[in-house]
Formats: sequence, structure tokens, C-alpha cells
Amino acid sequence: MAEERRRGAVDKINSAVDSARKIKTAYKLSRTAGAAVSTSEVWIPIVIVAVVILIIVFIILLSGGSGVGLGKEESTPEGGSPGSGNIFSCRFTRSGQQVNTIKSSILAGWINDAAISAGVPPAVLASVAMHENPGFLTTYDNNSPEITSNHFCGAEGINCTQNGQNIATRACTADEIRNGAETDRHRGLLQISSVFYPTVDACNITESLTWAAIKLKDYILTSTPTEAQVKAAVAAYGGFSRQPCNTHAGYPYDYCGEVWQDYQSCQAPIAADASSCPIPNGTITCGSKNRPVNGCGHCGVGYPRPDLCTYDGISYAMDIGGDNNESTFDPVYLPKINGHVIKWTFEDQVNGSTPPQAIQRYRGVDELTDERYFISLHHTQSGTGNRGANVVSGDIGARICANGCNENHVHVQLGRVIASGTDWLEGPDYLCKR
Amino acid sequence: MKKKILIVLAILFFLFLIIVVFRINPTENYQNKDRVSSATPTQTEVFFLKTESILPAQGEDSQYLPIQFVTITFNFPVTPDKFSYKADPLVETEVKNGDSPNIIILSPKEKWQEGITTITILQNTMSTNGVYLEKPIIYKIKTAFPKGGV
Repeated sequence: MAEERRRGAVDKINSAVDSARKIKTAYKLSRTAGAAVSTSEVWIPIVIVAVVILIIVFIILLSGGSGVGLGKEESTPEGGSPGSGNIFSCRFTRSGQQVNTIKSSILAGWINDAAISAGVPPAVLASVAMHENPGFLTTYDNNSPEITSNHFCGAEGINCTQNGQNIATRACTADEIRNGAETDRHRGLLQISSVFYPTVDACNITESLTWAAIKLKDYILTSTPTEAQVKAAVAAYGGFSRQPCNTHAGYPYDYCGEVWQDYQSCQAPIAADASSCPIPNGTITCGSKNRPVNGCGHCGVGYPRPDLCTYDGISYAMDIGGDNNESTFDPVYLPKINGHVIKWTFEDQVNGSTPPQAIQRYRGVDELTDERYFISLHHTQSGTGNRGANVVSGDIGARICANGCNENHVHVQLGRVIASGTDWLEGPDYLCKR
Repeated sequence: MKKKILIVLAILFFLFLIIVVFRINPTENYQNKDRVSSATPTQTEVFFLKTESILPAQGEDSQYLPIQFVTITFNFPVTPDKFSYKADPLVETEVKNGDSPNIIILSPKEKWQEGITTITILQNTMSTNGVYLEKPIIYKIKTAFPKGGV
């Protein structure tokens, strides 16, 4: 018992020592915790600063994004592309007859883009397309659903094919199919074969153009091809076994020869000059008031007839010299503006100072940018305005009135429509720049 | 510890306020802007569609080419399909948005008839946020190709 009692006393002492140790430990822990709290008070401001920075970043992101909704809406990209001008103003041939130009500037742009990307002349690809589907190129404009949706299947050309050879210009019969023949459907702008090229989306206009341009390239068509190269590439593309390319049923004309001719005429240097200056290689004989040339500016320095400075736009006009041969009427070409082909529409003819002089006037629209223009060609022969339905830059717009007029130059005034009204353009800034 | 919680709560609340303020509907922003900029603000005025400008300027002495387009700037975005108008004399026209969704460009497909064309923007013209025009707007444009020349 005494032993038990002694053990109980020792236990009590031990317990007391334990309690003291626990208190000491607790005190130490509380001190540690206190230190930790004071450490956390140091990083609280850091957290606040970080949050403020985050908020600022968040605000910046919001103001730049759509959440606020005050930003400018993204515009829908325009169709077409720069550089479509050359083929847009070219005239193409089919079946020995000259057909019209490409009606859609967007389509002309697509052809141009596909050809340039592949490294072949745009005029060759355009002529191939014109041969494959002239109706589409000459009648569908920029507003056609097919152009806006980039989707055109068109009427199918059908023939029956066996072992890579066309055996009939119709669908295969059941017997022919049993013997291994297939009905080949030619679809889209480029009339691409469903048998030979089943993976090409022939109805997607740009895809079919890209495919055709690459195909022509594969047939060794370079960017500046010879006659032999153009004809060989087109023969291979069209599946002609020999030249002239008139061996297909439904192709009684020389397809390859016509493409070569189209390429040649589209290259004609006069068209290129006509697009930049109403008189190819013409000389500016008098500039505008603010852009005088050779010491002459309309209604400004060196202008011999200040009494004429009474009508709109004359101060911005320019004179371009024709040749001095009185017996010829130099053609005056309708110009490109800023390198873009303009669709010009004859507006009217008004009298000039002395008959038979007249002024031919046109309104124009840049179908790529929607910009509108007004041009008047003075000192021209009465009745020489171009009343055609599809007149574009590079087409003849008038003839200089030489015989009996003694002018030997054309006076050109160019205006552009802007929101506030008519913006008369300084002629020498836009035309006949060298 | 309570101090920490309070600070965190305050930050969260502040963050919430910022989000709420900047997530306000864009049209409400326009309305607020309109309310502030109005010289004599009234409560009902802000709910109407109005034109801020029409170009080119109209006037007896102002004459433009018949191919002139008309640029109408509204106080709210308007899409071409909700732009209601009539032109007299009637010619075929085209409508599209300008550089901003608040701008409508009305052009003759070919040209206006020479002389005065009256364009009435009708009251059922509606903005994209469903606000109708306050009242019909009449605009007159005088057009002619230039006279004269030698």
C-alpha cells in the first residue's frame, strides 16, 4: 500500500511536471503563432497591391474587349483583291468569237489571286475559265448569290468514261457500268471531273480556281510562257490528244489557240498605258492650279485663258496632248483610278466651246471599294462617247477633236464623291504619272 | 484573423463592384452618354433613336452630283434592314453601314434624278437595341451634273 501510495505521489509529481511542460510548450506555441500572425500582416499589403494590379489589368482587358461594346465593329472583308485589273478589263474569245469581259470584279480578283499564287499568268487561267464556262464569267456580277457565297456548281457536263477514256458524251448505260465504265460529271466554273478528281470541291469557286492554276502549273506553264508552253499546258488541261485543240465533241474550235490569243491580247501594252493615262504615253501639257506642269496650271500659273475659269472643277483639271496629225482622232481611254479598274457609264455629251467640239462625261464606280467618280473629257469629237453597257478602264471613252478643232489635247476633270459632296481631284496626282 | 477575413471580403466586394460597373449593357452606356450630353435632358428623350448628322449638308445653294451618297449618323447602331425610308422621286437605292454601326449610307444604285430628291427616314426605323426613331426626318438633296465647260 505504502508502495502504491509512494507511486501515487511520484505520479502526481510527474503529472505536475508534465503539466508544467505542457504549459511551457503551449506558451512557446502561442509565441510562435503570434510571430506568424505578425508575419502575415506583412504580406497582406502585398496581396492588396497584387489584387489592385489584377483589377487594373481586368479593367484594361474589359475596355479593349467586347464587354463594353463601345469599340468599332469589325467590317466584313471586301471581296476581290488588288491586281484584278488586268484580266478584268481584258476581252476573251470563245468559239472564234470575242466574248465579253469578266463581269464580276470579285471573280476577276479570285482568278488573279489563284494564278499569281500558282505562278501562272492570270490571263491564261481566266481564258481557260472563259472557255469552260463563259456564261458564268460574262453574266454573274458581284451581287450574284453564287459570287457572294463562293459557290457555283452550274449545269453538269456528263460523259461516260472507261479506263481513262471518254467513250460517250452521255451518262453510262447499265451495260457499260457493268463493264467497268463510270459516268463522269464535270461541274463548277472549271468543269472539274468527278471521276478523275473526286476530292476537289468543284463547286467552290476559289478552290476550283486554285486547283486549276496548280494543274496548269504542273503542265509546265511558267509565269511568262511561250506560245508552245501555253498551248501544251491547255491541251493537257483540256485532255486534248493533239493540237489544234478541236478534237473534243462540243469543242469545234482551237481551244488552245484561243487561250494563247487571249493571253496575247491581255498583254497588249496599249491596254496597260490606257489604264493609267487617257492618252497612252501622252504628255501633260498643263497641270492643275495646285499641281502645275511645265509652268502651267489651270486657272493658275501660266494659264493662258483665265476667262474660262468660271465652272466647277476647272482648277483641278489637266490637259494631255494628243499627236499633231490633224487627220487622226486620237482615242481617249477611260482611266484606272489608284490602280483600280473603274466601271464607267456614259452620262451625257455636252457642247464644247465650238462645234464639233464636245465634252463626253462619265460616272464611274470602283467595284472593289464602292467609291464613285465623275470624269469629263473635253475637246473631244461629238458623238465619240462610249455608250456601251459594260465599259471599264482601258476602253475608249472619246476621240480628240482634231480635225477642225485645232485642240490636239484632251482636257480631263476628275471628281470623287465623298460624304460632304464632290471632291475634285488634282489631275496630275492621279493620271499620266511617270 | 478576423482582420484578415475582413480585408479579403472587402477586396472581393470591390472586385465585384468593378465587374458589375464594366459589364453594363453597351446600349445603357450609349443611353447614359446621351443623357449626359443632352442640353436639356428629360427622362423620355434617351429612349428614342435620333439622327446626329446627315451629310452632305442640305440647303438651297448646295448642289451635288446625282451619284452622291447620303451619310446618316444615328445615336444608336442601325442595320440596313431596319432602316426604313422613302425617296421622292423614287430611284433604285442601296443601303449599307458606314465605318461605324451607327452610320447608314444611302446611295442611288445609278443616280438620283436631277433636281431635288426628298428622302424621308420613317419612324419605324429601329436601332439594333430596339429603339424607334423619335419622329420622321425629312432630308432634301439637290443634284445636277455640272453645267458649263468648254
